[in-house]
Amino acid sequence: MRQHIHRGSFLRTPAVLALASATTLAFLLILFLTAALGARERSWDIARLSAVFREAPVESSSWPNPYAGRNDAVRAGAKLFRVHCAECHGENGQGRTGAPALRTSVIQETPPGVLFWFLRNGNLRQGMPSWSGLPDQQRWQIVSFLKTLH
Amino acid sequence: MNLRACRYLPAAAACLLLWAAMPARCRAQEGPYFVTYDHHMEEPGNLELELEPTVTRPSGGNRAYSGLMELEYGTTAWWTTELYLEGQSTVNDSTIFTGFRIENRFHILPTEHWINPVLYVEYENTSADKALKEVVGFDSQSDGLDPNGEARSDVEREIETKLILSSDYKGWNVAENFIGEKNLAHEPWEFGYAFGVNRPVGLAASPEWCNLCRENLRAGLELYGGLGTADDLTLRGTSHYIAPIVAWSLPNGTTFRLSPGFGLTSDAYRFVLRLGVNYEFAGFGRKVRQFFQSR
Repeated sequence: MRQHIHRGSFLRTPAVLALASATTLAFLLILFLTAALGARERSWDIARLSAVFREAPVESSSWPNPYAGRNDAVRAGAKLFRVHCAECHGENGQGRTGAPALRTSVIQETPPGVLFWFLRNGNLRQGMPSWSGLPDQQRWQIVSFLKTLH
Repeated sequence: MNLRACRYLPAAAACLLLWAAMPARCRAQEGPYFVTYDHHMEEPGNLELELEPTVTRPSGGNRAYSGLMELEYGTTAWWTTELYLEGQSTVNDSTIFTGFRIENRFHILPTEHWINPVLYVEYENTSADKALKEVVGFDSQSDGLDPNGEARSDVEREIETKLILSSDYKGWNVAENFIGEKNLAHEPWEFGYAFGVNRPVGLAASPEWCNLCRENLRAGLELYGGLGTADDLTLRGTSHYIAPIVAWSLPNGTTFRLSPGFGLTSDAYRFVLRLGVNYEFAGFGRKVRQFFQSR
C-alpha cells in the first residue's frame, strides 16, 4: 500500500502551534528567571565547609580509601572531577561563586571517609548535589584526587 | 534501507565521530531509564536537552513514530523541572503535534537513605499521544488504532503524580514508581507502575579519557504497566512491558540510549522501540546569571 504522510497537517493547526510556542516561552521564562534570580548563590567559607563535614557520622572518619596511594586512582579522580565537579568548583578546584574552593587545608585535614560520605549525600539545601549515582569506586577515586589539591 | 538513506550514512557517521571527539564538558548522573524515574536529580543550574523517538505498531494498525523533546533544568539540588513537547507521525495517516507536559520532581529527604523518596507532579495536555511515556489504567495497543484525526479531538488534560522510590547499592540502581493519573474531566484515577534496575558495566573509572570505557556503558531493565482505575483496580485487561536498556555516555555530556520493549500481555504492543539522545548544558544557570549581572 502506498504510504501517505500528510506532513502539512501540523502546520494547519495554528492554535496548537501557538499553544506549544507559548508553553515553551513560558518554560524558558521561568527557567531564565529561576537561573537569574531564584537559585541564590551562597558564599562558602572554611568555617562553613568544616561545619558541613561535622554532620558526617563518626564512623565515616575511619573508613579507609581503598585506592589510597595509587597514582592511577588520582588520575581517574582528576578525570571524574573535571566531568562532574569542575563546572562548579573550577577546573583546578579554586572554587567559584556559590561553590567553595577545594584547595584548602580543610579538605586536606578531613578524613577521606568523611569526604566520601559527603560526596554520597551532598548538601541539597545548600546547593551541593548528592553523587550517590556514581559507584563507590568512582567516589573514592575523586577523594584520592581531592587529597592531592594543595 | 533504501539507497537514498544510505547516501547519508557517511555524513551521519562523520557527525557522530565529530560529536564523540568534542572536549569533555559535563555528564549527568541520571539513569538510562525511559519510563522509570530514579532519585537522581538534575544537577543545579544544568540544562539537559533530550530527544526521544519511539516506534510502535498496534496489531492490525499502522506503525507510528513518536518524537518527544525534553528540556530538564536543575532548579536547585532538590528540585528539578521539565518541559516535554511531543508529536507523532503515523504511517498512512498524518503527522501531528500531540501536546506538552510540565513536570516537577522534589527530593524529599536531605540525605541519602536505603530508599530515597522523590515526589513527582506533572500536568499534561495531550491528544493522540503514542509515545508511551507511561502506562496507566487500561492503556492498550488498541488506543493506537484510532486515526489521528479522530484521536486528536480527544484532548486529555491530566495531572499525573508519582511516588519515586530509589536505591543505590554497589553500583546498582533499583527504582520503583507508583503512578496515579487523573484526567481533569470526570474520569477516575488511573494507576500504573514502573520498575527499573541498572548498573554501569565498569564501576571504577579508567585514568584515561575514553569514549568506549566500560564505566561509560550502562545496562539495565525496565518493567512497567497499568494497574486499572480507582473503580476497578486490577491486572485484567491491562498492558505490561519488559524492556532491556543500554546507555552509552560520552565525556562531552552526550548520552545515547536504546531500549527494545516487549509486550507481556495481549493488550500491550508486541514491540516498542525507544531511542534517546541527551545533551547536558553544564552551568547554564550560572551563565544566565552572569549575563544578567553584567547588564
